[in-house]
Amino acid sequence: MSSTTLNLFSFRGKIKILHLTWVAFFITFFAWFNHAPLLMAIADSLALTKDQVKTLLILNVALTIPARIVIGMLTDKYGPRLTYSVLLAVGSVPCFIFALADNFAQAALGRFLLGFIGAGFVVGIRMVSEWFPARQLGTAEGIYGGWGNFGSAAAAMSLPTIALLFGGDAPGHEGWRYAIGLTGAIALVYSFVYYASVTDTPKGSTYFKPKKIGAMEVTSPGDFALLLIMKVPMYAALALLTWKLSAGVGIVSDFWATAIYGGLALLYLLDARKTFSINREIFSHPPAPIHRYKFKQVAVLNLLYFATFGSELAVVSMLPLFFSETFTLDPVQAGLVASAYAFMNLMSRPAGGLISDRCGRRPTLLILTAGLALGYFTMSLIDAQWPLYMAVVAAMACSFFVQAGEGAVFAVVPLIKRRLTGQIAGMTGAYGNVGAVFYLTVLSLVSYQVFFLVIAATAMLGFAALLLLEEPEGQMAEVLPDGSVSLIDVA
Amino acid sequence: MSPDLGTPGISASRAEGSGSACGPQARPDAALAFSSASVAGRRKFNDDACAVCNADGADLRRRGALAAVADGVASAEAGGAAARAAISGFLADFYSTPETWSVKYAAARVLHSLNSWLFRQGGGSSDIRQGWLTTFSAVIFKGTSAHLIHIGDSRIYRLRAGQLECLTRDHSRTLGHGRTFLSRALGMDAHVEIDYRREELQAGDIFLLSSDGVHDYLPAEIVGEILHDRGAAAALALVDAAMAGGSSDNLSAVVCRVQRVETPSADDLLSHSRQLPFPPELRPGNRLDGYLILQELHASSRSQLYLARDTESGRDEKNGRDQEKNGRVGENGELRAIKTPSINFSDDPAYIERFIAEEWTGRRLDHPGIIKIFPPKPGRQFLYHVLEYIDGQNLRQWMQLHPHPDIEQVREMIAQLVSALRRLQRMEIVHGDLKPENIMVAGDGRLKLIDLGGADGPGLREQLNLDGEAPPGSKNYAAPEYFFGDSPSHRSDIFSLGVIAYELLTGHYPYREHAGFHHYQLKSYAGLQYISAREHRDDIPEWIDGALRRACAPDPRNRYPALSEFVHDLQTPNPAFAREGERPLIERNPLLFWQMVALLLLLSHLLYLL
Repeated sequence: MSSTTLNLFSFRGKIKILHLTWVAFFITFFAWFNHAPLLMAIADSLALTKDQVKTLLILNVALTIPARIVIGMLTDKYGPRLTYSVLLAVGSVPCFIFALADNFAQAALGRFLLGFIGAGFVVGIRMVSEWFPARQLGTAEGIYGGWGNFGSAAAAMSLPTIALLFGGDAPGHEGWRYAIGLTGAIALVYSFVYYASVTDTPKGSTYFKPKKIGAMEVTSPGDFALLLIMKVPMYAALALLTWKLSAGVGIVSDFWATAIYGGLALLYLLDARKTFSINREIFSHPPAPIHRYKFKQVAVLNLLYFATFGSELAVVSMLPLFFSETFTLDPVQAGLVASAYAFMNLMSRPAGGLISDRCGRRPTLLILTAGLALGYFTMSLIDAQWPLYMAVVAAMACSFFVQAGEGAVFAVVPLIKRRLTGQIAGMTGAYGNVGAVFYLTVLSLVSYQVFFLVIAATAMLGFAALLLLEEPEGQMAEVLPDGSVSLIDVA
Repeated sequence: MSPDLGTPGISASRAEGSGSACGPQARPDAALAFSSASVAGRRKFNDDACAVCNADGADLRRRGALAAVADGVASAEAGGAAARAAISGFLADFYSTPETWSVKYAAARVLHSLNSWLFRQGGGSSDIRQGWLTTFSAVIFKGTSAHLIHIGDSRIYRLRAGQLECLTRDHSRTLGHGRTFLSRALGMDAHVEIDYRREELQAGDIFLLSSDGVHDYLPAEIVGEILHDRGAAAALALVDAAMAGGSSDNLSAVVCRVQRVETPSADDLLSHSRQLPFPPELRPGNRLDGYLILQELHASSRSQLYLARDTESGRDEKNGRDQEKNGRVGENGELRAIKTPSINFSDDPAYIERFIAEEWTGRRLDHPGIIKIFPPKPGRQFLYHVLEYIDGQNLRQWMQLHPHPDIEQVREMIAQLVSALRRLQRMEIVHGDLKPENIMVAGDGRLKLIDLGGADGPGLREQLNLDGEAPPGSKNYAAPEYFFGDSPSHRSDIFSLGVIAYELLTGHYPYREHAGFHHYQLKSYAGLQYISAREHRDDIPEWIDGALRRACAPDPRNRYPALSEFVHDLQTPNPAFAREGERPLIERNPLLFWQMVALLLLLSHLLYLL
């Protein structure tokens, strides 16, 4: 009954749950980014303009921001098993809509709805945290996140080939439709597999007490103000998208755009009121010092995740297109080359967590953020003159810093305020999606070079914010050479 | 009586005839200052008795201080003896009750047995002259509350902010022309009803317990004045004043002045534990405060369990020998299990509170069917429990190896569990977290309850100052009242036991599993539909299924009221269950019945429209 090691080759108990759950996450990513490597073919057969293609990219990540909240609540109520299964099954529908689309509006609808499947991450995190003890949780979540994220690389590598098998670009044989439909079919089939083979909790596990839900808790009036400010970008991202759709592409009329702006403002006010009602106490009774935490820490992590995960989502969507346009590659080659970026997920995300365990949270983040700024700067220099292999190496190096940065951010999250880890992780994750919407909107306005430079600039901003981050403190226990455990205070 | 009581003093009339009095006995810094006096007055014998037991600091919180007055009925043969027996008996027995009992429960239990004893001493006679009759009034000061216990016509007064208030009601009847008689007293009947009342303490409160020889001869204003002005000498002054007022009875008064109210978290040991950090993850070979970690036994998202050897215990027992062979120290120390809290909860005060409570509870239980928790070593650096190591498997593992046990075997196991649960019940503790994972099957086949982290009960709450929230309970095993908003009771444990019995026999749960792992709100007990055990296994007789159904009835009122009835019904066919199939539909499935009625009505309306 010993469980000291995490044997990944076993397929029993919690390891089985971990494998089944990361595969579920893998499939959500596989379906979510099934368009990226096929964009050229799609643009050809639906006769899309460049601007419309870029709009599709933004639409793909837009709905994920609100969906995360909805999915989080559903997971609380119905448990991860049912929620993940239903999410996969429902998520297959927009895949089919997109696969059968005849014009831009239908494709846009499919992409927009597919944003829902991107919220799957939250579900699995709950599942894993219920099955693994604290000691193995970091590793288990690293495997879940890293291997699952690899789904986008798998899509980039395999889908162009699958499309070719189904007839490629030949008129009348639009292979991309089969490829995308296939991802939907996989998600649908797996939803049944998942439901049949997992349970929400180990047998005889203890219930969670409902916590104050609906808003983040803060511990000082200043932090409350900061929280309200930090909430703005989540609504601003959706407003930005609305603007893009009405002013830029014109699929949303002015009337509806105004209505959406009004709705977003109203939602923000409701959210702020809810936040106030949950945090009312702090204005009259400030909590004891031991229960306080600094929201500034959360804000910094949010910005960093904005730059890391946000840029990853954006780059993964556009990289195949970028490579094929810059180096005039065919879709299969472009997909393969672009997958190099997401391929790194397998090891760099867990590595980020490991390095930060060893070398301290703050120095690790500083180095990784500087690295990713440099990496994106390098990528902005890529042009047709570069040898292809150099471009691939640059993309891989850059992606290492990005994904290790993601891992390092999530290594800090539980240390801020353990009781609120779920909420802090949720908000940080949402910022990743906000980043994706932001970067993809930027991409729709400027050239690839400027796009990479903007990411590099925001990374520098993140670097500056990092200087405000305080190394998480606490008492640490040390094992002395004779094996006895004793206490040391870490300042 | 336990040796570490503050200053137990049965002041008063041990020696008959000589009116003895006792002066103030207050420590200057004590939270409570007592003074008492008891004299025979104009009578020959003093049939009154009074006692004070003072406590301070942590003792005040743990055990409480006590002031009591008893007034033996003079017309009875042994009034004085009864009063003295009641006072000394109550003092001795009350402080011997388990710490897990609430004050109310403990006082009631002690007084009921005292009453039976007094009643038997009087020969059960209805003639008052032969009876051992006494009034009894006591105030128990514990934590921030005063618990008032009262029977008869002695009184308890409270002076708060200049206002004198009598907190008790005399149990006496008037016969006319000034003659009264007691309607209730200890020793009067085989059964006795005792008044109980709980009051919050405030600094500056003054409590007075007096016999009728005092309060019948003094107007309330004078009592208030004396209490207010005379400080430590108040008791004596009251007695003197009543004497001067013409009292012809024995006179007793106990005065208690509340100097300050101890804050509830005064228990040093508990508050020290609260400061301790969580241990880090332990690896084999690590040493934690003298425990050598051997291996990890179990780890969940809530806690970790390690097997450890107590390297210091071996040394203590065989002092000389072990020190010679220095290198082998601890080789043969006792095996222990170490339970450490999960870092997931390092800033969850409710979890830490429960974790500490678990040790406190476990150390007060001694039963072969319940895991032993050992006291921590002095100077421990971390928060963890030291548990008895049980070599065996848990019931979940046992069930996996024995998917279809005999009914006989299950009966035997349930009987063992019931024996342990009965002990908990007697200690006024609800286990609250019964599940196969929390039951160990030792090598010799004996079952042991482990994990008292869900333990709850009024006494525990009083002692440990736990917050109002019940522990969360376990999925599929927690009784429905946890989700309905009713407070858990022993019947909640019976529910869990019923589920375990059902699962042992069939390998399934009696109710459909609820999705997710968050606490939910149950709207009505009727929403839970029991699945007959016979659907899973043919060889289960109907009456066993009936017993299971009743043990895990969703509504606690329909469940077995006592463990013994469940055990009995598992062993002997209960005729009430034989007719299960013949019960009318409205009893078996009220929801379906009313749905059908509604449907019929709807159809008849439709017919009418046609």
